[in-house]
Amino acid sequence: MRSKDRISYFYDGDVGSVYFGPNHPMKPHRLCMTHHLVLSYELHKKMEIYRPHKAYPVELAQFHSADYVEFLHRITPDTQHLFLNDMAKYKLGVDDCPVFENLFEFCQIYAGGTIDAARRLNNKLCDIAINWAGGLHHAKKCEASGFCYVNDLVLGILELLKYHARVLYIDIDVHHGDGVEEAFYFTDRVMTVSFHKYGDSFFPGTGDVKEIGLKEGKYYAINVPLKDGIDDNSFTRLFKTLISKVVEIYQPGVIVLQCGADSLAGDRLGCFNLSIDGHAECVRFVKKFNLPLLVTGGGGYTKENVARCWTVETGVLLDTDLPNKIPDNEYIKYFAPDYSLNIQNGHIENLNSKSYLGTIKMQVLENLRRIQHAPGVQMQEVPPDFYIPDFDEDEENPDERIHQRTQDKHIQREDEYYDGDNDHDCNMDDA
Amino acid sequence: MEGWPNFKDGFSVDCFENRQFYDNDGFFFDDDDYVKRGVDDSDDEIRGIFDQVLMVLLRGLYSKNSIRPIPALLGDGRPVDLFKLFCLVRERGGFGSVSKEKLWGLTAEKSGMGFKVSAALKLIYFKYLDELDHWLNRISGISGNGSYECSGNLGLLSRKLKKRFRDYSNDRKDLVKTDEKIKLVDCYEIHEQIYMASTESFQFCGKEKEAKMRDNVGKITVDDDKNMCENDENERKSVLNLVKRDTDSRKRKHDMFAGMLSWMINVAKSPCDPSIGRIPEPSKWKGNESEELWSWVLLAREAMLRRRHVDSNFEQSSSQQKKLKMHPSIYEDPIAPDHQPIGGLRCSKRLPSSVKTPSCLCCKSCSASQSKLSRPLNPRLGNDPNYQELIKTNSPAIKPPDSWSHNDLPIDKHVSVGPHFQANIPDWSHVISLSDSKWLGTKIWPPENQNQDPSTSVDPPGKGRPESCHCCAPDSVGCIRFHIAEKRMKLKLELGSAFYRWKFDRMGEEVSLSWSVEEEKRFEQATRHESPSLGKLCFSNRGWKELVSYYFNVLIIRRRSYQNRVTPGNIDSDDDESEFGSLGGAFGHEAVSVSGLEFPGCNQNEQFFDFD
Repeated sequence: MRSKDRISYFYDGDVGSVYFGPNHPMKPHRLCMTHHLVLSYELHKKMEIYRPHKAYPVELAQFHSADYVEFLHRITPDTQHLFLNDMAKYKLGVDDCPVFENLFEFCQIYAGGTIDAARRLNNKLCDIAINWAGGLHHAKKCEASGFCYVNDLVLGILELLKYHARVLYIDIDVHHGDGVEEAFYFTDRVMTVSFHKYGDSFFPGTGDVKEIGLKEGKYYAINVPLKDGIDDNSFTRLFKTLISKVVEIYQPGVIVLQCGADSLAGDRLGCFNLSIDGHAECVRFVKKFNLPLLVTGGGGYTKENVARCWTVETGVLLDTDLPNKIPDNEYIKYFAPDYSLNIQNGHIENLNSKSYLGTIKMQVLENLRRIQHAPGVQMQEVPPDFYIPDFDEDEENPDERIHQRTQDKHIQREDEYYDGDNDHDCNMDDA
Repeated sequence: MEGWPNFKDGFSVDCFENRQFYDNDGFFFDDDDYVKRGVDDSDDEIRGIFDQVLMVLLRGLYSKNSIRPIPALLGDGRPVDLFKLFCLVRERGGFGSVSKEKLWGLTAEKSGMGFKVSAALKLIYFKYLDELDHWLNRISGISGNGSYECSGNLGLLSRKLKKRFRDYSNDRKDLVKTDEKIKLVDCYEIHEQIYMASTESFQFCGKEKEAKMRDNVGKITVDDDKNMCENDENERKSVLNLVKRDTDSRKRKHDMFAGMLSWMINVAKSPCDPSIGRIPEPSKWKGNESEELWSWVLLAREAMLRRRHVDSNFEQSSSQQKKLKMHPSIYEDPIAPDHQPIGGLRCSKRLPSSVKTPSCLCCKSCSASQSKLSRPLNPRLGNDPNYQELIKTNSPAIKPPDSWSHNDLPIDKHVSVGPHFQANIPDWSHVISLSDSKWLGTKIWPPENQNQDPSTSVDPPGKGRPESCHCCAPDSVGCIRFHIAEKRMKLKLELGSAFYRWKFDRMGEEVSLSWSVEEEKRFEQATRHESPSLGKLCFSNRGWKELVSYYFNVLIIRRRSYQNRVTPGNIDSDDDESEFGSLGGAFGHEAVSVSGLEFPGCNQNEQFFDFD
């Protein structure tokens, strides 16, 4: 039986052979394991699998600053000592965001996956697109952050915005989706909703319930700060209440769901008590809206649980319940001792009292109520090209802005004959 | 933690004695000699113990998220001898002193790593050893705060360390005076801070006030004098001289501060502007007494750094820190500089942000009300009557003027706004031009030429592992490996070219088949050093991806299978640090007999039963 949704799934065989360095918690090899497990369950029979194109620098520069992209392109572990100043500027270095072999290619692959997924959705070639390699939600416009170098989610959403008036972004990673929120802080065309651990200096430190967006974007950023040890019941109940209200009020044209698996119990960096069922329940719930859906990965630092979780969620999106016993596969040893999809329950005390969750819920719903109705004006009207911040009019050269705009218009065309270096030539003429 | 109280007493003694090790009248002046005698005789064992203590400490601090590999590596992959570094820095009076005296270059030279890596060494010291330094201070009673959380076996290690250290240092005396000196420098810096704050914020500097300030400094000096040995005295004098010079010149040049700030802003705006003038190499900063703007900035930064250092003592010992999931340096937010831990200051590029708001920083710490971190600054400083008096005297005067709007911003980290942060939203049009399929990804599955008819598919998708099999020894290692190989063959037939495009041919332990036993051993050796290069240099004939693939597909899986069987209660496949044993040699080559044959019977695999 084929599921009625058309599913596009993105995977590139090269993505797993990336090594962040000794003891670095981010291990892209988890993507290999996930893909392998998906195939062991023979889920490929129900979907189409694509290899994403490697995003070109000019595509990455749709969000990121051109100099940052250029820097990522250039730097290698062997040459990094020549760029110490730039590395500090862009927050690359020894800790979270080391420079490793094939760094740029890795970014190109996962960003390409999310961009391709968005384009396929735009072209109505599929109903659901999955890119487990994507979802690196911390990266900022001009700097790397928290294991993320390029923010594929922002790039994907920008692609979706070309066709959809309103995009809803939902983030169930244990960390706050700060990069995405920040990128769309001023716009009402993207609503960002992030469920995350907040407090105790937990990374990245943002994501208070009071952060609600600014200017036109006011009330279009929603943060649900949670405390340690939240369990399936409270999480899914809160999630369903808020998301159904958000969808009802905001009426998005497409949903982007970041499924960071570090909110699972037993994650190396996380501190929630979610089981895979609870995590997947959120995916199931979002799928039920029957809106175009872009699903990405994200965090997740206990490799085998990440593979389990995203495999189950692939199954959920394909309307396939997976049997608990993991089929034999190359990586079966990771799933010892019981070789099943279940993971051990978390032992972290749930610090989220009912009253705390109630307060958070009330605050979020109160903010939602301020958006009286879906911003209908945009259903008819093309929104302005750019948000022009009024506080630093003087600093930004108006000529440059126009220049930028022309450049953007060229992008689509440039893609066709882009062949490497001189992609800015035509803009020079314009200027 | 139940055993903690017992350990605590032992701790103080241990560490007190440990500290003796660092004190040596001889080496304080003659460090080369000391280095030769004490550190360079390559007693690996003592280093090992030192590293272990350090590792346990760091783990205790950063819980399971210790991204602090030991040995620490420089950018170029050279390991740093932490023990030696620790000794070198301690003997110069600790992190603060070395930074203040700009001795990092010297330290780097002494450590044998070369002058160029001084900044890196400073960073490494801060990340690895500073906490150890604080900890040693703390448990020896300076702060009297015994609530520091630490795993129990630390005590044991510490004792061992003590024993080793004691053997080493029979003739060495107490180090307390060195600590006193650090303490003095700390106090002094605070005064300096407050002083700077008042001058900078208001551009006035009444002579009376200044005199008072210097009185205070003097008082502290007198108080502590008793504890000081002659050398410390000298050093302090030189510090005082420096300050005196500073204050004197400041008297003459109040306007310099305004000039300095605007210069700084200029630098921040356009770092390449020729009008900035030439700034000499960092190596020439030391001892520079010129009155150019950049040297003022350096002085200011120096003081700021000190200030943050004191703050960070607090932050790190507070309970918050224990729950920290990632390294503090990633909490940086240029708009709330007081939340920046000192780790963020590793690079001179941060200079602008740290100098831009010096006065507000000081005010926050003095009035102690606006910041989330509004605890007393430092227990040992807070108790100092002179210091308290100073705060009392000065705080009314240091209230920020109303025009400082940035003080009204919430202190919590918040979203950055501006053209450098938000995305440019593209046009919205309800028509989309159909993209070239090239920009939509390349279809790998299902293959184009294959007419996928779900009804012909034998197995419905989503099948799990069968309950039982027909093997003669179900669930034996041989049986499992047979089924894995069987599944692999099936997948290979079914996927066709996709099998290779997804690099499934380079998955699993089969990867090891192309490696010789000797190569495997060498690789394992190479990864032990935890270098980010994975022994790339030793394997010039193999590509990088091949090495990574071997690492994840063979080495880590073997480690995991060792854990599965030997330590099933303690499995952590994401822990790269732990050593792992071996289960009877490499089995990559033996596996040929399984995977090479298409469907070998189970009985051929009896040779593997000993794995169970």
